Amino acid sequence: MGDSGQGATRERLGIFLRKLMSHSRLSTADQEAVLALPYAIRRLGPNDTIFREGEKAVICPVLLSGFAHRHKSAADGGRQIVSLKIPGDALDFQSLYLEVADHGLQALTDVELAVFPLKELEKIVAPRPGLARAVLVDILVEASIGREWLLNIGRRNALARLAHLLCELNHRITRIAGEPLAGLELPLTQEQLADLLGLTPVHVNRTIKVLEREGAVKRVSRRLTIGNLATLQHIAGFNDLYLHRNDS
Amino acid sequence: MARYFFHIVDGSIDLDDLGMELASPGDAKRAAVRYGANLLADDPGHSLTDSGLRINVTTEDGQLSFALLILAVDGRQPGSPLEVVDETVTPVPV
Repeated sequence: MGDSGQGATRERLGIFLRKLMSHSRLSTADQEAVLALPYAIRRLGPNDTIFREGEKAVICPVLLSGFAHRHKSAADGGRQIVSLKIPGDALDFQSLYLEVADHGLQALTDVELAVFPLKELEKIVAPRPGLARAVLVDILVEASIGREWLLNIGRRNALARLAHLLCELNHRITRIAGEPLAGLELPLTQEQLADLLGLTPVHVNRTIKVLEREGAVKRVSRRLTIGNLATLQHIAGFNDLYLHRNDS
Repeated sequence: MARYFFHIVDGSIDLDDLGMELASPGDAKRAAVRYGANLLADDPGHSLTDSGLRINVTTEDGQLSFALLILAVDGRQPGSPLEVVDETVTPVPV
């Protein structure tokens, strides 16, 4: 489980600042305010819970490394992964404005979190319209991604659905890393992909094989990497407009 | 719990090398129906070919546990099993 307090230097928050500035312009003073936020480092392993549905948040974690997912469960236990979080992402801006978590958040891989007291975040956001706007845009872009996922699960076939997810992840990670990734390794197991795409793991496996045959993906042991991005985008009918890269 | 494998036969054969851990043969049947439903949603043409869609469900030792068949049968063909009709169908003169 997690430890705290070590390695909490302001440089570590660079990835968080980069994420905010990937969609919003921030003044030097606003940037300084973000980097000066007090935080603790928390390290968790795969499948560890970050927060649970129904909990009242007093902190806001930001993902410094690794991957996490938001999920919701039906009464019969069926689980749906509703959001995938990558390094740089704030995991709970929502709790600045809403009291109770309406979903669970879990680590997918080993993760490193910077954990801010929500009160400290409030303190820098309230008097700074530029920062408040960046928080709002972050929430809006996540909502836009959620709408695209609704379309993905509701109306795309399994092949386009998986291809679309891979394209999105590649775009988001490339954007935060600052350069195209030579080999993006998908951090999800086939069972997790099934929970995300609304398919059975066997169907996910069959779909990966088809993408492999098309040269769109490569599989090394049980991990997936992108083989040919153009092919993948063609299969997905991918358009990155909903990621709002340059328009906020 | 036991692992079941779901192989697709739809003109060609697609062997499942992953399988799913399931609690009972009943759960395996429900998983096969759900899988078949997903495949049909992807491609409704699956059940309209001559061979239809067949999912062979095997256990870890390779034994066939059951098969799920989805097939459209032409009712106008002499000898078709659909010649025996019920009250939902108006009989077609052959």
